[in-house]
Amino acid sequence: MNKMINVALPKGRLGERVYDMFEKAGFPCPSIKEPNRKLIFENKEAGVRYFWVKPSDVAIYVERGAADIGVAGKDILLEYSPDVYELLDLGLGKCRMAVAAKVDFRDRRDRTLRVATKFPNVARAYYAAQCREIDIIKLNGSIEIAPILGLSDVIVDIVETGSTLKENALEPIATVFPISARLIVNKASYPFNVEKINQIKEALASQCEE
Amino acid sequence: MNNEQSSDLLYLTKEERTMLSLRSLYKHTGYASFKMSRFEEYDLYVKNKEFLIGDSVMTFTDTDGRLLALKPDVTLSIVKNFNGDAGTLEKYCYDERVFRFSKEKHGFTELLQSGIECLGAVDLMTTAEVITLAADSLSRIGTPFLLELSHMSVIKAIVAAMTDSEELQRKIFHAIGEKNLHELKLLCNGHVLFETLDDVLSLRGEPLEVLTQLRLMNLPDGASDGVKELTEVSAILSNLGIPGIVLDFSLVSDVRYYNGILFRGFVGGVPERVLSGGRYDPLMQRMGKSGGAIGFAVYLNTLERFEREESPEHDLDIFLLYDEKDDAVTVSQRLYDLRAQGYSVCAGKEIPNSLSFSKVIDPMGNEVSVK
Repeated sequence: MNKMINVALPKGRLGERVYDMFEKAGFPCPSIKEPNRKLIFENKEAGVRYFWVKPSDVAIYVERGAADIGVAGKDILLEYSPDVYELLDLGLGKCRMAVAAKVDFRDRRDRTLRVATKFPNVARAYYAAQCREIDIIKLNGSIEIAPILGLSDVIVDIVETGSTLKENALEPIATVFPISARLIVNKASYPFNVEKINQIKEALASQCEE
Repeated sequence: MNNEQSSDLLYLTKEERTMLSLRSLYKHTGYASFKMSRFEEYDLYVKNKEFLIGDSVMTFTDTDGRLLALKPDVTLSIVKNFNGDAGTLEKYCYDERVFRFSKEKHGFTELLQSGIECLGAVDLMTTAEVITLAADSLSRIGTPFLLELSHMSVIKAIVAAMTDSEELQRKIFHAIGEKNLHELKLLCNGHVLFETLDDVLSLRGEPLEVLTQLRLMNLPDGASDGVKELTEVSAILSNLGIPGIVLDFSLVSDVRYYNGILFRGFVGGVPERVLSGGRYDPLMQRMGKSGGAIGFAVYLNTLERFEREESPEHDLDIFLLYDEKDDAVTVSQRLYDLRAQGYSVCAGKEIPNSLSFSKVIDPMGNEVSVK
């Protein structure tokens, strides 16, 4: 029997590009491109079922086995540390996790640094490695205004082009780590579907090298 | 087993049934039950924090001021109580509740865990027996199952030949555990042994076939002991016809505690490992004990998912619906007869919402149609 492989894709532009890669890899599901609000699409012949989920939830779906494989940003993987295999760097959605501050910011090591971020675990690990005491301010969006309003000294956030920072009179002062989309796999699903998952991985990898 | 006993078992959860089945398997193979208190000196865990799954321990102060912990692990307690010398072999089995921090539950949780531990003069026979019991345990839980096998010394030898830096070694081990070859390539930073590591990690499959390929590779000194032990164990397992064993060297663990064969078991339909174990001589040394040690734990809490799939369509066979007009003697006689015939049955004037029934009857035995 051809077991269906469940694939969690991140909703949005990145997810669409990732789907195109899966399609090219020989796992098409044309109905996914029809304009509707459906979230689950399957192609029984290709033995694959796709579903759209919030990008930050992909790792949860895969870790808990609701999806066999998925595509998630390295930022999410480092923030949540899911117990999954990370088989491939797809090289898509490239950006970086960075520390940013107001243009006139002067770092003073004699006081606790106030850090606003959507990624508290990432920020904690980054500053712990520098033996730096910090005060984490967990926000869910519009991080850039935190230093402007004096809520924080710096922010730890994803930076793509830096234009949002610039428009808010902020600038990146350090890179925490580079980010790109990764192919992740549930550790219990892998052993039972090793051939098909490796087939998908190889077909995607060949596109990354192009 | 008589009917009454088998119907008793019917109401056990998958977790409880598996626990009993595994206990009988281990006792039958000569493993003595190890019963212990729920509490343990906190000090034991502080000294071996990295050995625990998750580093949070639930603590409280005893009446005499000692700091105690609700046991997060069983192995450490068994090792602590081992007083044999390197020439003796002690074999224990257990089923115990442990208390751990659960990322999923965002708090502490109580988990049922079964397992075995062999301490002291662990030899090839013991190793093969433990792995065979691990495979047997998985087969009692469900099918299909797979037992992944690895050896710490193979990977450790390659990584140690690459770098002395403990920090870098830790990162490399982490990337190996994730099968994260792109990260590994960056960490190895052009080292000639990256290719070897890549080749070893790409091997996966039937043990004897994989080992044939492994022996053709140019591995650093120190890996040969691991290859030799894996070959000997695999020959035994193959001879016994133990199914579902695959070699996969991405299975690694903390070098401070584990040094030999490692294994991890999966059962189809459970989204995480249900069994894990291995050889942990360094832990014995850390705790001042002589001899080696090998064992495994079965995480019975992971079987909850089976429960949902296996639960029967109805809670009870029959509901006997009566009203004020019915004679209590007749109703109770009917109820008694049905139970004597082996049906699960209860009676009442109203059908309870909390239970489901295959059929509803009146005291005369006629089926009542229910909306």
